[in-house]
Amino acid sequence: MSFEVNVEKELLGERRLRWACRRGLLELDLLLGGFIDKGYQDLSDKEKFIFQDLLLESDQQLFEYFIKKAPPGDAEIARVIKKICLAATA
Amino acid sequence: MILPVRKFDSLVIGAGGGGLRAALQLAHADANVAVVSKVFPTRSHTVAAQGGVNAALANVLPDNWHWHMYDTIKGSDYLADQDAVEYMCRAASHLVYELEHAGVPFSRLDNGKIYQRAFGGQSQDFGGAQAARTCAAADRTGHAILHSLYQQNIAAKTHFFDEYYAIDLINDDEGNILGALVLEIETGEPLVIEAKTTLLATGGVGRIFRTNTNAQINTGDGMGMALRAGIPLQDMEFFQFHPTGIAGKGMLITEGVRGEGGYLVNNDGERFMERYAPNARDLASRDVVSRAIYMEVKEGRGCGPNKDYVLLKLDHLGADVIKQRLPGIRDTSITFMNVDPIEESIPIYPTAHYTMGGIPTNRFGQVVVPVKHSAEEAIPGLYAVGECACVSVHGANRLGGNSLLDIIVFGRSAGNHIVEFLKSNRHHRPMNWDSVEQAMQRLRRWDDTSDGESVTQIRIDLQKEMESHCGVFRTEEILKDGIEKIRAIKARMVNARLTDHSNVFNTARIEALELENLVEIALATIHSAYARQESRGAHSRVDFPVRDDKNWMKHSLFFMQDEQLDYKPVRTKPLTVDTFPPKERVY
Repeated sequence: MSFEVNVEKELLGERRLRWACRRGLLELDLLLGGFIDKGYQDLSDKEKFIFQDLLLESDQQLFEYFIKKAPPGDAEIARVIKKICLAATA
Repeated sequence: MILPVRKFDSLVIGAGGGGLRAALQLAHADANVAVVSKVFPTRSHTVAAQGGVNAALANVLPDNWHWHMYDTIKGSDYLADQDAVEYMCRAASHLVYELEHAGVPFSRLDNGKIYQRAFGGQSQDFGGAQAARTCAAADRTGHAILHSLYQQNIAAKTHFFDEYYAIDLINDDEGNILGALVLEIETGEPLVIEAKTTLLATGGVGRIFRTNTNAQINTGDGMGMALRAGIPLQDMEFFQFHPTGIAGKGMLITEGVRGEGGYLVNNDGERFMERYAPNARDLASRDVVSRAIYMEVKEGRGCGPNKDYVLLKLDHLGADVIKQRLPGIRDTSITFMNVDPIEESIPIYPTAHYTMGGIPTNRFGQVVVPVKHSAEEAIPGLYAVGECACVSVHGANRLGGNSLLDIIVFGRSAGNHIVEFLKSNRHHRPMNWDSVEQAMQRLRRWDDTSDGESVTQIRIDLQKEMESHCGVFRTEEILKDGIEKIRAIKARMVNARLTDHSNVFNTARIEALELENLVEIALATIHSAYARQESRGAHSRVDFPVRDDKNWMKHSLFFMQDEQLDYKPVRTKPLTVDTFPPKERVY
């Protein structure tokens, strides 16, 4: 696979992600949309996959992860959630 | 250009609770129904409705639908249409049980019945003791209803167009609505959806204001489409504001915080509500507190580098009280402001919350417009429900717990009416390609731009002007000035640019189209507010502080064409019971 193709795929992925960050709750718009602009690029590839998987969760579940501080048991996922929250007030 | 066409019996635009409830009714009647949603359906703003849904089940305290009807009309400051309110309150219990049977996990009493909580504005016996009328699934009622409706629609084979954006309605020369032009966001490809009926259920439009509680998707797309199709918007001056939103972000800080002893201070550390409401102070009514905050900021006593907010002080309550009674507020404040209210005060500004106005409909969800001598003539094939519609059950102010009720009652009612319409309209009308072309031009015009102003900057300016000229402090002078400001912003749209012309997930293009809707709706809102020379419900005019039933007990209708305003009478005659005549609204 050529380098260009990879770049194109990454670009497509990010645009799709940006739209998937539009949620039913303002709180999630601010946290997720803000993170795409500020922080997402600095994630490791594995963390990017975790972020993408997080977007598949329901709005209520995400709200509980972020606002109610009830992160999932997995330490890596919890770390990505923490980074998203930190970016919101940085 | 040859466009792909898909044909359905019914098209539903918007996949919140109202759209999905209507779609379900249609799918169960074996109609071929398509739902278009710009985001994945379960990410619609219905999930934000945490409080619950009102129904006079009388599980906790005595209750009946007639008392609920009275409270709703009184809450509306007598601007609601009483036939629609009676219909809604009568249907409420049945529809809540229906949700329960569909699996919505309502909180329970010890005896197994649905738990009901008391909300402001609820009374027994027509203004007597507090009632308990709100059925809730913990603090996730909207979420539970939306997910249940989505699953039921999937089972009923409703066809979903997820991540499609509706550009405009398609109509013929006789005024029939033939469907809509939509855009697949993933590919940027337009698609014509032909339908015998089209239902708009695109939600509210809090995004016209800088500080608001609404999700970013709430850009009034259905209202914008209606305006461009020549349909007026009704009662847009009535916008529910909440005094304590987090400044610069918009999220609500519940009134309960002030109930627990929290209070507002200005830049001098003064507890300023003592000046505005010496007795009630921070627990004065919402509009009084909102206007006081506005005044403090306007007169230079705001806090922060731009002096554009006040502070909500809680630290004197002590860490234990805050942790035990206000944990959610503390979490929100820390997450978004990095402010722990145990140690610091929370930056606050009034936040726009709910759109009472919208596309005028009757209680069957049919969009109705004035034609010649009739104030309410139905547009064949066009329906609207939920926050984008104005049926009008909320009138000048909405009661808590009535918005979820509105969407399930009128979603179902519109679905039923469409089923009957389809029986006597068995064939699609001939497509009007001129109308499609007109909608395509709206899309193409953005691709012809490359130089000019940024869409984002125009949106920011619009929201700022609306907040300062059509927010919680309204006078003739401010509103008049505001109309010119919004007109000037509309003029800037001609030179707005889109730098990204790619097709795949071009969110900038969607934001440009959304901004067109926001600008037109902002103009409708501020015009209607300027014209209404009284204070009623959520519309509070400093220069006309009293409700004026003689001159103003009527609905506003704003037309985009020539920025015209018209009026129509309130429907004061209920279906079966006596009229509730206007009285002073005292709680």
